[in-house]
Amino acid sequence: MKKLMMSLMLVLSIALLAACSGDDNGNGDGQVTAITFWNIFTGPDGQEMVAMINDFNAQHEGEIRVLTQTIPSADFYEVMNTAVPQGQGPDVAIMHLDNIQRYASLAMLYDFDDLLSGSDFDAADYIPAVWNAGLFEGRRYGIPLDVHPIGLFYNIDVLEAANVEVPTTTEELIAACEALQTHVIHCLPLSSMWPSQTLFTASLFQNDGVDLDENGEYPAFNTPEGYAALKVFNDLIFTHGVSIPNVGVDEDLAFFRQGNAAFHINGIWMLNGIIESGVNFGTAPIAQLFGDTPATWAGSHQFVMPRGRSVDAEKQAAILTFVEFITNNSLRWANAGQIPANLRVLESAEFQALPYHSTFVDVSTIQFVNASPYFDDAFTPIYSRVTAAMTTPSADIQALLDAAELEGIQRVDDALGN
Amino acid sequence: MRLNLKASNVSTTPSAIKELPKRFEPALFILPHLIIFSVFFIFPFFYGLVISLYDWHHFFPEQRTFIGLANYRRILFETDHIYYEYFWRGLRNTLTFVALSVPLLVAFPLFIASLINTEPRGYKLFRAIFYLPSLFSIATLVLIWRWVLNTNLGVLNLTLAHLGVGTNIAWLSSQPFAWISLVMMTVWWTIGGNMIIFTAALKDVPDMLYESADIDGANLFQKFFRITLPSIRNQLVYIFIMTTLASFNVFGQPQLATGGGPQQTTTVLMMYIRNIAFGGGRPRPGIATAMAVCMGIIMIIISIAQTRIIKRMGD
Repeated sequence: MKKLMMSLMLVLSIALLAACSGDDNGNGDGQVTAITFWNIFTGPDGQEMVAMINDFNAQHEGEIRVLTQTIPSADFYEVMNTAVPQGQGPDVAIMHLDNIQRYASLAMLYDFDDLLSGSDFDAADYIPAVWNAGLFEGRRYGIPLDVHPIGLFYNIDVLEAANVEVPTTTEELIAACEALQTHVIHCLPLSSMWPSQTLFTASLFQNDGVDLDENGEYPAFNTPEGYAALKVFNDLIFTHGVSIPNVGVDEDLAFFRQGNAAFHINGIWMLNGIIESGVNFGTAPIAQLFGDTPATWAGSHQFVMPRGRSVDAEKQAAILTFVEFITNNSLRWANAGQIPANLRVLESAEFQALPYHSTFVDVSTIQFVNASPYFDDAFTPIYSRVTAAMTTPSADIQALLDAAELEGIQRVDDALGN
Repeated sequence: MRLNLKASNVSTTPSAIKELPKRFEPALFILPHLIIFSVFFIFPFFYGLVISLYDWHHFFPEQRTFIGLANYRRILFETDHIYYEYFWRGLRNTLTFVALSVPLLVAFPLFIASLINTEPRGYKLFRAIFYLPSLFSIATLVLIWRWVLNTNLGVLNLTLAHLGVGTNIAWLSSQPFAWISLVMMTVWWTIGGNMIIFTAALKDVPDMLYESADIDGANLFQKFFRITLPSIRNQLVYIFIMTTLASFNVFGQPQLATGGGPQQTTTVLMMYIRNIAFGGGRPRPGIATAMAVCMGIIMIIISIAQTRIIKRMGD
């Protein structure tokens, strides 16, 4: 109830804020086009985003003014669900790749098609899977900003002291942890909650499994491949002792930052947090850590235009100018701990020269989830079962997969109206 | 009632017209509350009833279709439907919490209040200390307890390990510890309110009853069950009902501390309702309000039953 009140209060205050700003910067005499932008960057990346927006506002002084609002991603979609139908949504917002098609299918977004015709945006500039995820029924709803994969952080000092190489496969990981036993308290602590679902998804792809069926509707992870993908975490923890059980959210990170863990798996968004800790570390891909087929989980932040506000041509042009500015400057965004979705930036010498990014992931191994409108319904039920597999020594892996599949099927049934 | 009687008396007197402003005076006083009550309770209540009869769509009013009781049928009877599963699982979890928490939430404050009522040295300080947690917001409460209960770094597990009892209990991510943790933090959080009511009630019990009981040779338990409990019966009924209703509405503790886990065993009905109404997935306000109405009906039935049972016990 309190949370609900909080969300409502938030929506109200945003509405109020937006209303005020509308008065101040209306199109009347000043000729300033005000656009509201909601983002979900609460970490160090958020500060960089605000700095970029300030630069944009300074460059377009007297023409365009971007007013930004940061909402924690846990609340973001809820606030969107309540604000957008009331016509109180932002002009432009950031959304994760696997949500865009669902929101498009629920008619919560405007498409970019008219806006993009005649602009500089070119599909060839983007990683194809990222670019295609923003499409729904032939229309474009998302413009990619970045790609954020998970990868392996390793403590150089610990590995050197034990003379252990960075592992690339499950066997190497288990062997490394055995060799490191006397050198460090924890080998690879694995949080049983966030971000364990991204690890499972990576494992699923590495074991040749798939998330959804070929129509992008029903769950398709309940297969021998899916079984192997989930079993590996149960084995790593309870058979091989790679991690102690019941590691909580960010406890894994805390161990690594304290220098008490040899390895840590997290998203690239944690990069600056780990640099700050002062640990002497390196990065390596996780592409074959859980299975034989190289694959890396990654998400993607994309710009979307929520429906509801009246949008005139002038405003749309301003939105496009803003989105172009941010994506063209995504090298700065990379410094904040993300990987640009724009290939021109990705292939630039400046990006290649960044110390941790290029060893963190081989971009060609990135495999995105099926970004279908039914992804959330079909796939997310597995998340709590991943936690169960990582916390229960004698977990019945098949029963967990069955339960997740059933819940997924029922949710998709409901979504499809079957 | 008294208000009406008085008003009708006034109107029968000859000077009724002169007294007219006086008749509206009481109404004026309750007006602010009435407005707030209407806006935030009566209107949403009926609006909710309407929504529960529709396949409601947040965004396109023209897509809202009246489907009668289909939402209710779906959550109550259609066994292969996901919302049937969510509703009953959520209700089961909520009832578990109510059953585990209410006895403790009544008994523990009563125990503390009885001790404080004997006015030992420094009782005012202890009363303040026990009341203190009630002042925390839910987020503060859960943050504190998450650190205490943390599996690998928490003070509770470290203490237990020190004492040689059990190691690395996953307080928030395994059962039955998740329930124990939720009940424990709720008791700690809410001792204050009920304790204050009990302390006030205990003060009103006439001392002569205890004195005559002493003369008759009654022991401590007899005094408690024969004198104290019957004397504070009204407050007990009130606290029982209010605590039960509050426990039904549990949301913040499981939402923030366990996230509904492990495996949705602590996902209470309120969490499902909120998620289905506003959640990131696919908002279904019709289903969510139908669930809320069902939950409301269950709460009404249980409070009536409680009143009856406690009254009968007293007779």
